[in-house]
Amino acid sequence: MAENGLPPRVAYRTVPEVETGEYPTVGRVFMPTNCQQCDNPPCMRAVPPRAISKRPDGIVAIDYARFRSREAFERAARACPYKALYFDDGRYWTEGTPALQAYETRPHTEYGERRARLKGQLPIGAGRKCHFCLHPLEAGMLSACVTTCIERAMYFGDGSDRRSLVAEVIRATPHMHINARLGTRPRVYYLADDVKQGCQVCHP
Amino acid sequence: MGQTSRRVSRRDLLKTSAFLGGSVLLMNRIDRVLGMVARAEVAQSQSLLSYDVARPENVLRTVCLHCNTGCGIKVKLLRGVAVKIDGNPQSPWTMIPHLPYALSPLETAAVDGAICPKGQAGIQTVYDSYRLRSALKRAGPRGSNRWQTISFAQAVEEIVNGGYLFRNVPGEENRQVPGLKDVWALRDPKVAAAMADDVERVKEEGPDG
Repeated sequence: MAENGLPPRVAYRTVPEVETGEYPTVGRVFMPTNCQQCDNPPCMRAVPPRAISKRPDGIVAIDYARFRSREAFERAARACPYKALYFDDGRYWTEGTPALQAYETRPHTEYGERRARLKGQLPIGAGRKCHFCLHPLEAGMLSACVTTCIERAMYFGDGSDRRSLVAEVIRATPHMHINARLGTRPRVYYLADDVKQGCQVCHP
Repeated sequence: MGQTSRRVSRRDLLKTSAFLGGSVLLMNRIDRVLGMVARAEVAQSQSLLSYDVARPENVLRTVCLHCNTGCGIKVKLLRGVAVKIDGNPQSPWTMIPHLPYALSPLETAAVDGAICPKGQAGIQTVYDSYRLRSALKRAGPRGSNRWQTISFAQAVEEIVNGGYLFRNVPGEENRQVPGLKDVWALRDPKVAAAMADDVERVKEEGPDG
């Protein structure tokens, strides 16, 4: 939220949770979901040319100026099997309180452009989604979800480099993609000791 | 740290990103963290896109007081506005192992430790639209829920000196409120000095000494 200046109803990464079992053998499953940065992104094909593009570095990027219509957003959102797209309809968390707070209207950087999120200005009125926090990546830092997680549950890196930490983890651990059969070729890997059992909690 | 730095272009770093949930791999994590510092230095020296909150002058190191653990935090500032809170990577509370103390804060500004959601919410506390910024003084009979806003300076002055503080409240026109200066009990300098000595002795000898 804080990293990308996100308003109510926009979340780059949601973590739905499901309770399982019956007392005393209970459990809780967390399923973090964000844009999977697909190699074959269905959202890209659903929108006007260059509104959404696949960068050479692998990140699926939005061009806010070309993606500023509710209709284009809805087509992309319908095409995305991961529900990763959100429409910025111009709300603020501190709207309706005695003062709109500066941390919501401060300039923030996305896709190399610095913008203050003010009424009538982009990205308000455009579709939005996770971009692996491009701005800290370009400064040599990690995505906000990776550094913010207190359990350090995530790894980020260059999967095409065999010696990288992520490549090592992928080789060493059972993992899966969500909706792999759709051919989207996502770049997000989910690790689990028993992938099948984990899925069956919600998809028996 | 220089020897661990490897020239990494943005393209190399990002070429194909893989992103993972779960946790399995054991490795020398301090090497990994120092690698992060090195990469951040490389990226910044190549003056790639400026990421303001990664610059040391925009990072304020302090302590979180949202619970009594008191984690070391770094507050990221943008034009004087606190915009994001993360863990101070030189605090063992937010990064294991933490970065060596010998590193200068100028070198570690681009590394984030982890801080819990309560700590993250510090931004919402500090900029809470309903946050009380001045003291409230009772302006009617007790329980009437009538208040007037006064400055903290006036509040301190009235609490210390007392006086006819509620002249404007019906029934309390002639009530003199004693101030702290009237009620403090320890006035004997010899007792105060003896207590100060005891404190020093506890510090030197420990509580059982």
